[in-house]
Amino acid sequence: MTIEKQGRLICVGTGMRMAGQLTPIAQSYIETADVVIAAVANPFTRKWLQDISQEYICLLNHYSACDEEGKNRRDTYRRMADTILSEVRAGKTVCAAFYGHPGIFACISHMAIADARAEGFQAEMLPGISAEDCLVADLGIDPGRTGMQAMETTQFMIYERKIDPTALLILWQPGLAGELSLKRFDTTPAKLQILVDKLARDYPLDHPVILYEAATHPLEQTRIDTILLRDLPSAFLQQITTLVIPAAYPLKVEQAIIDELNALSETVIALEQAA
Amino acid sequence: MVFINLSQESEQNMSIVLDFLNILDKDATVLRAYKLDGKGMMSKFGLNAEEQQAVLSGSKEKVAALLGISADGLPSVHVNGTYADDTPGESRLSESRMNESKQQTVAAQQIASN
Repeated sequence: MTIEKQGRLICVGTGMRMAGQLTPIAQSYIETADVVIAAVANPFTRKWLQDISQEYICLLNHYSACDEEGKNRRDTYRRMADTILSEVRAGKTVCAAFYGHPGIFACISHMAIADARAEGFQAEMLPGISAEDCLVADLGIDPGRTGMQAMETTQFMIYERKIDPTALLILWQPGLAGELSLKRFDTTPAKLQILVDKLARDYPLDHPVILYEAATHPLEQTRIDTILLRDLPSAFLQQITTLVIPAAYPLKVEQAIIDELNALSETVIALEQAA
Repeated sequence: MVFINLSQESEQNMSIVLDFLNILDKDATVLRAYKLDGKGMMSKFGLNAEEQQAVLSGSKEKVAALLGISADGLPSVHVNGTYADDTPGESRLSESRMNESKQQTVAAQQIASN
């Protein structure tokens, strides 16, 4: 007989704004869990969640440890996951709440769920409204039209990636571009120039790009600033800024594949007629 | 981060402001009414003049002060392991720092021996 352990973990997303983007089931878990452990940057949402939860632990305070000698964001993520697990191990129903979607650019939730399951606890994730969802709505972009590539800016910079300039490209966190120490939360014009130089392999320097920031509460305006790619190093970037690069060229037809597909169709028709 | 001590009455007021922001965020009828007549809508909801002024200003700092919280956002960095888990850039950085450190050590030894 399997003895089920008492602790339980539910990871939820709070959306990018306040109550309007929190799903009913996520709010229900936040209100009823023994403890809510949250990474929510918006101070208004954080205050609200503190008020409606039975116990609230703020994960983002762990970032202050990045100031400590020898500690970086990688250590911080591990400590955040350990904070969640320690409450689960104590037999509590734990709701881990992350802004946006709990599973997108949120390694802690994935780490905590994997660890909890490995230790025999129930653990699950519920979807939330992500920054990408808001971006699609605010910019009126349909990712299905040309296809979409999305990645973290520094990841794009330091790895060899093949970019398709006939598709939309979204680079997250350009405000931390090239930040390799994992200890700082900013970038520099010199680092942004390196980013521009790499992008210039696939895009003209006069290509219009969009700096996007989702509104995080009803009083805030969404930021949608169009600039030229070459001007990125001097642009004002925050931690929440996203760089959106529309397709620079039209899609090109690959006629050989179309011919192969047509040949298949003709074969099928011929076989059907023969039968 | 600065937190402000609040009386019980203040706490009730800040709850009204927070409730109002949440209603604005999730109720289409209230949002529409607010856009047509912001002051009237807030009066109906029970916000006093100071609270109405803060909301109408759109200033996060002023609203946060009413709520007794800091307007400073905590890091809104994507908690992202996509390169933090395996960062060749960081390895390169560490290597260059080690080389720098070795060079400094050699230089210090040379100075010492002189």
